[in-house]
Amino acid sequence: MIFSKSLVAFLFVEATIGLLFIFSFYFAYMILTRWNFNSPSKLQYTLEKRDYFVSLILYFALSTKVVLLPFFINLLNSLSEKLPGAMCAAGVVSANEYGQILLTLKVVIIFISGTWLILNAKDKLEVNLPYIKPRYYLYLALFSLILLELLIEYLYFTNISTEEVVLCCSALYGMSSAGLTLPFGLDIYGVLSLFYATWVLLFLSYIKKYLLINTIANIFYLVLSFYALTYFFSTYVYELPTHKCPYCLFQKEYYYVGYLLWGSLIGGSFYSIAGFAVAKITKFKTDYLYRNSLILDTIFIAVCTLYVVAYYLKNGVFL
Amino acid sequence: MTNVIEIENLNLTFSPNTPQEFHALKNISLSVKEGEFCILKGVSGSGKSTLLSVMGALLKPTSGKLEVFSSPVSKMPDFHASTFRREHLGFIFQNFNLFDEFTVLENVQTALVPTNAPVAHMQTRALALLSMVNLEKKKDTTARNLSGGEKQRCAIARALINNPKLILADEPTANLDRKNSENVIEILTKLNSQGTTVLVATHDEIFEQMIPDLKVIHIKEGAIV
Repeated sequence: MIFSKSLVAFLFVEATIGLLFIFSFYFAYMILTRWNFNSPSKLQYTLEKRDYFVSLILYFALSTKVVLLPFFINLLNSLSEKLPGAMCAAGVVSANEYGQILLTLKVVIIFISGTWLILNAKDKLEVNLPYIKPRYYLYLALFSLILLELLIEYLYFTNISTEEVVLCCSALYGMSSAGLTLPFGLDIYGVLSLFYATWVLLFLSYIKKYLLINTIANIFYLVLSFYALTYFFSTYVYELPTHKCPYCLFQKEYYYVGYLLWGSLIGGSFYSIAGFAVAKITKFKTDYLYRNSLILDTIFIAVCTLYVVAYYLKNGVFL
Repeated sequence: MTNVIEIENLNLTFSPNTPQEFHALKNISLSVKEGEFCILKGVSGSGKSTLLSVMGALLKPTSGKLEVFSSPVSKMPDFHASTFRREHLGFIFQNFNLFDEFTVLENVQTALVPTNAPVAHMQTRALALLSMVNLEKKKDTTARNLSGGEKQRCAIARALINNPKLILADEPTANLDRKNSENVIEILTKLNSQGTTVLVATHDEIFEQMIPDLKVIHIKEGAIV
């Protein structure tokens, strides 16, 4: 098993959040089964007070969860120093079969947590808390996922061997473009063309208020961006055509640009998906969420493109 | 006339399920009609201030129905309760609750600050109310330097700044001498004659002596009698 102070702190906070969720479960169950806003009964008044309490706990727990994701990435990078063969988080994530599942699960939880936080804020704007049940159904989904995450975290960290050599980004992502398995059978230039075309679609769908199309395009954009960033744009960040890694971007040598790139990409997709979900559940307009999404998606594409342009202006050639 | 306040089977228990459990309000049912001048009368500790606080959305009941201007104030989340109080209610407290270091004018204006009203409007409105309660000459005096009667008139002006349709007053004459009490009652009566509903929690006989068409609700040990 691997050990570090940051890891202990991280697991402590994760376990605390898990305990807060377990603590809230009884009240959530009572609210889901017994809630009737119009009732003047003692039980209803008690549930209203409990909802206030539980909402406050979840607000802080889920806000912490959002902050913990970049901390987790930082933790993985710092753990790479302890694993033979690992040079960045790629080696730590691939140290066993749970790493990639855990990372994906964390992103899914962040998306649902963010949606819960927005829904909670909207619900509190109404006198009769009309979205209380969707909020608690979302809580149940989060509760299951957070328990699963705790289990996978346990399995992941206890199964990392500090003696076995791990594969890192040079082996995982460093192959030539010709040998890549890219989506839709495209080569990297096909992916790039679709990537830019999808951004144009995001822009137009926002302007024309085709919000469902915007959400679908955002999911598509997220997938394409992963490949475009890992297999093309990252080489311009590293200024090395054979270095293709989504994790080294988070390191000091590259000015931690990974936090900006991945943060804007995940944030952009989140706002669009949350905008669609919140608009479906509530009567509120969510245009501002789509606007945030477009701003973040544009930051992502602009920073990626800037690296390529800057490299060309500096060296007179492309990689 | 429509009911401004409607209460059915309202209960309030402090520290429930503990040795300190105290049943402050017991099955209260009452209504107050638009334009009425009403007093809640009872001895100290009878629950009249508690009931007034529940009506003003300052306290939540344990059970029962409470509507003020047809809004379920007892169930409002805090954010909405604050907005409701600001838009519909004027509160007058026994201990005035003024900011001692602020001038009379500033004290009256403070209630308008959350509404983001223009400063000129706040000042005009505050001066008009100070004139109504005959306190315009003291507008630049700090609240600390006012007499008890002046403090209560300042508190009344502050309560009226948002033009409330309902005034809730908790023992407004308790700390005043006879002459100042009469002044305060005259102001409240004048407001009532202009259409404002007034509900006062008091044990002071002076209200019944001065107001002929007074509705009196007696409260004893947390129950209406």
